[in-house]
Amino acid sequence: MNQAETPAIRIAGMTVRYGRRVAVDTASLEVPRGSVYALLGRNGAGKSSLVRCALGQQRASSGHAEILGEDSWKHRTRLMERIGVVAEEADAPPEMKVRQLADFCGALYSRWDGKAFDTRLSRFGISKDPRYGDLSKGQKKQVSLALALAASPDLIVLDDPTLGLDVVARKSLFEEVIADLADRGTTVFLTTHDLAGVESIADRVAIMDGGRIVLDEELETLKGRFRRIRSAAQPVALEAASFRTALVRRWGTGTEAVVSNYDDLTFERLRSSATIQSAEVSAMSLEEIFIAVAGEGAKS
Amino acid sequence: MTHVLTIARRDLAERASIFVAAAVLAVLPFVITLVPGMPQFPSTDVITTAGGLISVGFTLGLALVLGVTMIGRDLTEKRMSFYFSKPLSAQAIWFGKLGAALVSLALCFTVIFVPSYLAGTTSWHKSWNVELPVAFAIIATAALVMLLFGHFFGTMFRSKSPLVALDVVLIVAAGFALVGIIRPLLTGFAVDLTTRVAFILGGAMLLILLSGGAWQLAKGRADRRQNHIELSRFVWISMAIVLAIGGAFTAWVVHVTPGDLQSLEVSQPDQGTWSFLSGKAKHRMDYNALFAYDLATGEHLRIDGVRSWFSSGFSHDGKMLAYVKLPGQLYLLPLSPGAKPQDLQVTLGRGAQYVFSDDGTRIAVVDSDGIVTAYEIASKRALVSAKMPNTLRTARRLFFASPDVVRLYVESPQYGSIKASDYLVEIYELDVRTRALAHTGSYRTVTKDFGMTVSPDGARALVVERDEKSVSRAFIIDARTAQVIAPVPSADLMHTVLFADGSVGILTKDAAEQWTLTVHPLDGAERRIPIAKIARLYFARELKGGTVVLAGWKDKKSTMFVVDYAHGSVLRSEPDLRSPGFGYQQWYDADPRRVVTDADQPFAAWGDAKSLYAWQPLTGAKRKMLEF
Repeated sequence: MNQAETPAIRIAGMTVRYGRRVAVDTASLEVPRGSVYALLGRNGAGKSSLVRCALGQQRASSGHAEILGEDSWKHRTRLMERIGVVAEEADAPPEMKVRQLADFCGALYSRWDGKAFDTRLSRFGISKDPRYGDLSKGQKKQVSLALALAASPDLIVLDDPTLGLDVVARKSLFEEVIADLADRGTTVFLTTHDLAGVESIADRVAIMDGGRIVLDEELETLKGRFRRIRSAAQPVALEAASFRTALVRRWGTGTEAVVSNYDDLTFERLRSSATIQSAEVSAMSLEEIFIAVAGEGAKS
Repeated sequence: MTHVLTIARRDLAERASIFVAAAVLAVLPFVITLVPGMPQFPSTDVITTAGGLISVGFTLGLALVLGVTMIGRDLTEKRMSFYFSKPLSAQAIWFGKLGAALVSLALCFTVIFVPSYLAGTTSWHKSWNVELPVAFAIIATAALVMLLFGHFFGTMFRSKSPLVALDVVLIVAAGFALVGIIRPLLTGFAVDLTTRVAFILGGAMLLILLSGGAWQLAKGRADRRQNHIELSRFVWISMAIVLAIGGAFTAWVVHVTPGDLQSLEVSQPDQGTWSFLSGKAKHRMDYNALFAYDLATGEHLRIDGVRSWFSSGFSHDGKMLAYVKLPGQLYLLPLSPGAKPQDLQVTLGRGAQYVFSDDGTRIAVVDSDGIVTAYEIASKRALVSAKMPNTLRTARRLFFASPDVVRLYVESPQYGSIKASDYLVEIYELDVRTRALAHTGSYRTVTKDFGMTVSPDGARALVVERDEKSVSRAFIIDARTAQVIAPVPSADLMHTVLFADGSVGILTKDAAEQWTLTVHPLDGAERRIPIAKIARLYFARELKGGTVVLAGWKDKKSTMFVVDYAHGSVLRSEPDLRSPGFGYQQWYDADPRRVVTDADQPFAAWGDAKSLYAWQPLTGAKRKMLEF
């Protein structure tokens, strides 16, 4: 496998335990180079633990993580030269001024682009004088993002980057920054709750639930195979027609079901049958798919 | 290295407020001189004293705070990921932060200390009485200890992990192990060795904590609990190795054998084959090894916690050894292979003397307060105790005149300024049955330079006095009442002896270095026995049956002579053999009675080639026991 074929991130059978609690349960995933990969999951699903282990900041109980073809635990120091990281919680020293943070990071990266940092910071409207600890939550994220990007990384890892950002900043992050990075071939791996924002830019998504990766595929394929079907019939009819239901609930006097292997031909055959004539089908947003897969009523 | 400096620079920049605080504190010693009441002291003394206290106190306090926070705070506040998401190695993070902490401490100390020091250099040296480099070394070491221990305990307790309980248990265990390593060396009076071992162990501990920080970050990284686990794992495994090596070293030191001794002191009892050996052993620096050693078989019993044979004593039959352990516990060791010492539960004060009864069933002790007590060994019970009236007299000797009577000779002090009327020997008897202390006699001497020795049966005593003009005179006196029986010729103490048959032996040397032993019986003509031409000659030991062993030297060569003083002949001379003890012990031992040994008892003697021999004076048989 040449370098271009090597995934940017490869996680194999990773388990993370905190005492008896299993935070990540034999998770495996691959992030193709140049892609925008979104890892979705509810709070406590294990996303941040998986990210920390993938970045070599924390040792997994078992399993293996590679970044850019190298073991991320063993070669973390070297790898971090090529990776930009925005942590879930603001982790820069609060006493440091933004300027000092830039100087500090500038001394660590060989590909540091101070000009790009200054440009991005002024686009965010943040001065270099205040202390990091005095910035708002959103500003902290933006400074962290500017620092991460100024290192000219091959891979950028964003752990819930929109947390605390206002609508405008959130939109700017997804539509300008990440889209721009993707256009330049930088691999983007992010975890987020902002499904609407990520839907327009992600190439691939994975959903974590209860520590397990329950779904991992191209976003277009995913959206293509998930449909909402509302009908007066009972869901057994759908299952009899070989549809797998991810979510089933009452809808008026009938049933609303989310199927995860939708295809038009099967559905038309079903609708033409006597059992389910009044069914209507609709496409689903990523958020709706997420709720169907990882929400309260999701089938395990 | 660049990254280490980058981290250190960052941490230092964060501590600007600490340096400001140090600068404010630097002014404080000067402000204190303005406090009402202070003018009574010289202002330079106040400034240097306060400056010293504040600089040391602030530095050590800051060291503890920095130790607890430099890594622990970032871990607790989940900010360590900031460093680990950068191309920074764990070593760079640790040594950068540690370096910044050390520089901060040095800077703060300097900022506070230097102005007060410069304000009164002479006064500082007077107040603190320590050289500057020594003071700096002590403060730097103390600060490093506070910093590293602060880090260790900070990491431990900040993790809020149940593992803390295990750490506490291991800290206690390590404490016990340290005591187990150090104590046996201290009880061997190995001050230099103990100091060196303590320095090595302390240095190793600091090195472990120093390396532990780098290890913890390399393995635990941004995970708070994992940091604690990794630090504990590293520290305790390393400590176990260091303590095991320390323990093995101590075990090796204390399991010295008589064959390892390089210098040797020997004390041999009146009877029996056991002797008391003490000395320094190979590669063990100043560790003092002591043994009860059987000259007949070479068997030995190791004795702990005793500095030298000076405080030891054998029972009259030579089957038991008593010795004193600090702070004054009296122990009894039956002299047989595998025997264990017994604590007699008797504590001897400073200057106390003790003797066994001839049958070995009792011990009498007299302390420096003049309290005499007789104990029964089997029951460890005090049988009788009494206080002698004249406590000024400190030189005391005693023996069991019978199993129930302890006789005491309370002599004028050997040293110090006393009146001529105090040149006195008071004699007391303490009766175990009647529990009464009776004064039985006193002997007034002409000088404090005198000696007294008692015949083996306790009936008579020989007193030798030397006046201010160095003229010696001697008397045979009744050992109980001090009544003078007869004047006898005398020489100095080293060359005068009371023989078992009651006669007095005197060694004299003529101008041609010819030594002669003159025997003066109480009734009858004197006998002159020519010994040898030799530089020096002393009494070594008397054997039962009228034989005496003499030790001589000439040109660093020693020779032993066996003389039949009863019949007036030299039986044997043994070149290259040296006595470990001399006749002068008769004048100063706790038991004032003359030592008369069984004729067939082996005699511990040194060969000139650094060997210890078991020598049979009557037959001349000589067996090499030890080389040292």
